[in-house]
Amino acid sequence: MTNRQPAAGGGRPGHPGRRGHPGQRQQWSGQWGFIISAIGSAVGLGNIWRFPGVAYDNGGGAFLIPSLVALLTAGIPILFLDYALGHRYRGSAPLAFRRLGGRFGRWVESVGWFQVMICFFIAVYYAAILAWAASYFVFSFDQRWGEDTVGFLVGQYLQTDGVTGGFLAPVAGVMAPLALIWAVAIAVMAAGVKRGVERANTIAIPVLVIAFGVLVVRSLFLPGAADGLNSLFTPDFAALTDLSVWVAAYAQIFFSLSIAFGIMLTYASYRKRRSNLTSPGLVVAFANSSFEIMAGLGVFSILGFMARQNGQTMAELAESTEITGVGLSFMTFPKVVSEMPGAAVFGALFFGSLLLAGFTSLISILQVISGALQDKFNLSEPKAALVMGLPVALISLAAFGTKAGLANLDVVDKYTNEVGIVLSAVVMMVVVMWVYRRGREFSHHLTALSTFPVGPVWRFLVGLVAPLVLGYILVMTVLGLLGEPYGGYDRWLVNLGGWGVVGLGAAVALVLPLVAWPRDPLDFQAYPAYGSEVGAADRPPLDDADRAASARGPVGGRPRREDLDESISKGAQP
Amino acid sequence: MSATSVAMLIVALAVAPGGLIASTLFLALRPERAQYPPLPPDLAD
Repeated sequence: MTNRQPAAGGGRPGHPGRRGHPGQRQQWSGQWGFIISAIGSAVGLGNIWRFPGVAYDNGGGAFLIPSLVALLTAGIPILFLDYALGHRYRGSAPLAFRRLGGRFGRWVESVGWFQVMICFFIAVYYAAILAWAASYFVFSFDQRWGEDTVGFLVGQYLQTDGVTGGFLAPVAGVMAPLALIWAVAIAVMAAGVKRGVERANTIAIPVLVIAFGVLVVRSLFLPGAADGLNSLFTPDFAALTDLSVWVAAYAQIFFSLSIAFGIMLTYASYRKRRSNLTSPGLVVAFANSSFEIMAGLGVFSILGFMARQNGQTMAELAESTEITGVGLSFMTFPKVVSEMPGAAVFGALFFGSLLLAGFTSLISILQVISGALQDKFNLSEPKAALVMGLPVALISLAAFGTKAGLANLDVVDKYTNEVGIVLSAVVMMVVVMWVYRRGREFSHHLTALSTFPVGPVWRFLVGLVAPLVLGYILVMTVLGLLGEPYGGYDRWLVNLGGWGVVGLGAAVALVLPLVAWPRDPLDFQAYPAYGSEVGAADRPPLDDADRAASARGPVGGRPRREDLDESISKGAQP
Repeated sequence: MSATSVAMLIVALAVAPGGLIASTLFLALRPERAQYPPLPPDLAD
C-alpha cells in the first residue's frame, strides 16, 4: 500500500499561482533549460581566475591527470548524489534532508539548512565581486585604472588603504553597482525558476561563451601567447608524486562544479519525475571543464603577452605578479589590457565575461535560499525573493560596499569555501551513505531514470573515496587555519568573519528544524518506488512539530495524511 | 611551444571539449529512457 498523495512542496494554500495547481512544484521548461542553468551555475569566477593559476602552480600540463581523476572519482559522483537527493525527495536542501531522515529527520534537516546558510554567506560577498566586475567593465572604455592598477584598486576604487575589516565608511563607487546587481538578482528570483532563473541563463550563457570565445581567440594571436601556453601546458610529471598536487586537483574540481552545498540538489528538484539525470550531469561536468581549459588558454596567452612586454620569462612574471583570484582579475589584467591593441574591447570582453559568469552562479546560489524559504514557510516566489533578497542585499552592502570590503571578502570567502562547503560535503556523504545507508536506493533511483547504470562503483566513490579525500582536505585546512590567523588579518576579524560565519551557519541550521513545516514533509511519495520505503507499515511516524502541522488540517487544499491512510485502508481512491 | 606541451594541450582538448561533445551527442541520441517505471496516476510528473 502506498501513500498516494501528490508530492509536497510548492503551491500556496488555495493559490495556484504560476505553479499550476496547489502542491505542484516549479519545473524547468525541459531538459536543456535545466542543463544550461546548471552550466550557468558551475561556470563561475573560479573557472576564469582560479583554474589556470592552480594548474600552473601544480605541475602545468601534468595537472590534467589529477584533474581528470578528480573529476571522475569525486566531481561527477558527488554531482550525481546531489541530483539524486533533490530529484528523489522533490525539495530544497532542508526539505530533501528532512525526507531523507524520516523518523529522526529533525536533525538531518540541519544539513540542508547548513547548506542554505553557506549559500547565504557566499551570496553576500559574491555579489560584491560582480559589482567590481561591473565597474571595471565601465572603466575598460577609458582604462581609468592608469599605470598603477594595484594602487587604483585598493586606493581609489575600494579605498581600503589601512583598513583591515569591519563595517566602516561606505564607498559610493562600490555601493551603486552592488545595489544594481542586487536589484537585478532579486527581480530574477522573483520571476521564478522557469521565467527567471532559466531565462536569465538562456540569455547569459550563450553571450558568455561568445564573448569569452572571442577574447580567447584574440589572445591566442598576441605576441608571446605561445610562451604563456608553453608554461601552462609543459608537464612536470614529478609533481604527480606530490600529495598536495592531488589535493589541489580535488579541491579545484570540487569548488568548480557547485556541488555539495545545495545548488545542484535544488536545481534537480525542479526536474520532472520522469527525467534523465545522469547524461545531463555529464554534459554539465564536461562543459565546466571545457570552460576551464578555455580560460587557461585565454589567461595564459595574455600573461605570455604581458611577460614579453615586460621582458620577463613566465616564471619571473608568475613570481612578481598575481596569477589567480582578485589579484589576477583586478590588478594584473587591467595592466595588461592597457598595453593591448583594442584595449577597450578587450577589457570589456574580459570584465563582461566575468560579470556574466558570476551572475549566473549568483542566481543559482540565491535559488538555494529562495527554494528553502518557499518550502519551509510556504512563500510564493516573489515573496521569497524579497524575504531573502532584502536582508542579504543589506548585509552585502553594509559589509562589502564599505572601505573594509576587500578584507571582509577575503576572510569570509576563505572560511565559507574551504571550511563551510567542504564540511557540508563530508557531512552530506557520511549522513547519506553511512548513517542512513541510502547508497543503493540512490543508485537505483539514478539507474531507473537514466540511460546508463549507476552502481557499486558510484557507491564506492561517494561512500569512501570522496569523503576520505575531502575529509583529509578539511582536516588539513582547519589545522592550518587554527595555527595562525588567515592572511595576517586581526584575530577579531578572522574570528568574526571566518570561524564566526561558519559557526553562525551551524547554529542557525540547528535551530531552524525546530520550526514546523507548513505541511507534513513526510507526506510524500518517492518515485520510482524502492523496496518498501513507501509502504505504510514502514513509513516513519511524524515527530511533534510535523504532527502539529498535520493536525492543523489540509494545507493547499490537500487532505491530511491520517485521512488518506483511512481512506486507503477502506479501499477508496483519495 | 614544446612538443610535450603541445601533446598536453591536445590531451586537454580531447578530454574536456571532447568529453563535452561526446556526452552531448550521447544525450541527443538517447535523451530519455525508452520506458520509465510506471508513474502512479495520482502523482504529478
